[in-house]
Amino acid sequence: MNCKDVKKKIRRDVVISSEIMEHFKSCPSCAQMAQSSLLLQDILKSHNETYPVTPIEELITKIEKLALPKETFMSKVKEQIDNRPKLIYGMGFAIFLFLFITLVPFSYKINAGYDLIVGNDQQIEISREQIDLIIFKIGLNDIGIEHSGNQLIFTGLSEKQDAIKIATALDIILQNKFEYKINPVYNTISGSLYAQVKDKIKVNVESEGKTLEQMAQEIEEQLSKFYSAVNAIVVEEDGNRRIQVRVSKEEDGKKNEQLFELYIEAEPDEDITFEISTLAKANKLDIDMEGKSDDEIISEVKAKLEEQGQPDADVTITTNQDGKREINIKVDRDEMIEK
Amino acid sequence: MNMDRQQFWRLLKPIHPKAESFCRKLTGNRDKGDDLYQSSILKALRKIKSLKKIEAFPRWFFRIIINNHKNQIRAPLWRERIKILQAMEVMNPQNDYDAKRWLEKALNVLSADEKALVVFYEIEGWKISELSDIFKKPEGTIKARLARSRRKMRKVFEFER
Repeated sequence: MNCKDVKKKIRRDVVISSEIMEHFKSCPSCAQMAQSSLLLQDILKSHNETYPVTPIEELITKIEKLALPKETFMSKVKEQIDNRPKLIYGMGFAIFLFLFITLVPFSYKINAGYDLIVGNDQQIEISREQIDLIIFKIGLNDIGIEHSGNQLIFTGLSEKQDAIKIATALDIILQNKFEYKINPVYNTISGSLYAQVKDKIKVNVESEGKTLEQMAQEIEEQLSKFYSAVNAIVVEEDGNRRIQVRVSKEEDGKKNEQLFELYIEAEPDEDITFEISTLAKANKLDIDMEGKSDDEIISEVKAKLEEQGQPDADVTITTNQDGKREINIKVDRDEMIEK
Repeated sequence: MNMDRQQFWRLLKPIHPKAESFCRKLTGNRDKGDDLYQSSILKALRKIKSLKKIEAFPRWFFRIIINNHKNQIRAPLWRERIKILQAMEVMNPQNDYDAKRWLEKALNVLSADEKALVVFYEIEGWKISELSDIFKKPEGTIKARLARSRRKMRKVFEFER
């Protein structure tokens, strides 16, 4: 018998035949292997120590007493995360995405209308009345028109179709002599939520223990960070507190163009709090009231406010004792009065 | 699957003696075995929803015991292996106490799965087909692993000689 056969036999079952014993006499290595296999076999067989089985009822009582902790919200969350480790990666990504959208001030452009440019190297022979008639017939309002020599520009067109209609009408009148170009107009909007919130200026002045002049000064200080020339007045009349804020552009140390004027009403004992949208309030309302009825003026003002992003403004007109008309505009909590 | 605690105890009752004995033999110690068994029951109660079919309960529960034991002994097992290789006490395997120590030493050179396999087959007397079901491996693989485990354990005794 050779070593390979002997080892194979011993591995299967450690039974030592006379043949195997004969081999051991000349092969100490196989003898050693057989000895250790026999030893292992004896030890495994002898390891039959048994203990009494714990009664199942005793086990149940013991386990129940260990008082499995009540499932709390956090333990449920932990269990869900343990069972679905990919969930935590998903949640991490969602949090990152939310922070990215909220904080990163990326901007995007939106189409804000169209401009129509008519012209070439020839003079455009058309009167203002003809242009006004075309605009009136098409049914457009508040269109900007610039006519200079060989170019005619229409601005503030909300739809491309309107530009096409004007171009078609002009084509007939001007007998196909001119070129027409329709340009889209884009507004850049800040995309991040944080940046949009930031676009509002919040003014907050505590009134306790302060005079009206001190409150006015504090309003001016807070707004001076954003505007170059700010004038604020705080008055109390008939049990109401009225705040007037005038913001102008300042160039070369002189206040010139007034940007906007704000009138706010507040309770006498309350803190003064209001917000200004930096985008909207940079625009003025330019209204020519002469020869127009109250309804016409209100429509015009509402249309201009809608362009400035204030579609829900409440507009009324009051007439003073001296016959002067006042336009009252209420936008959210701010009140603007333009005379 | 939706299973209440009462149902769990009803399923555990038929395999309770075998499972408890297995835990004791696996740890080589009654108290440690009982601790392993109880902690495995607690884990099983928490993970009961992962059990898909009632028929799979014995296999599922023994798998929890094996994994629980694996987690408990991981680091100490590695240190134990190094101790075995570095120094062996001279023991008389004919003596019962020494026999137990020998077995402990021999089992400690095995991985947690190999140890479970040896305890199931050599000590508890489970069949190859039952082990194949628990470990979800073909019977040939189970036999090969048992043979490998015996070879490893045999080396413990050969080393001493």
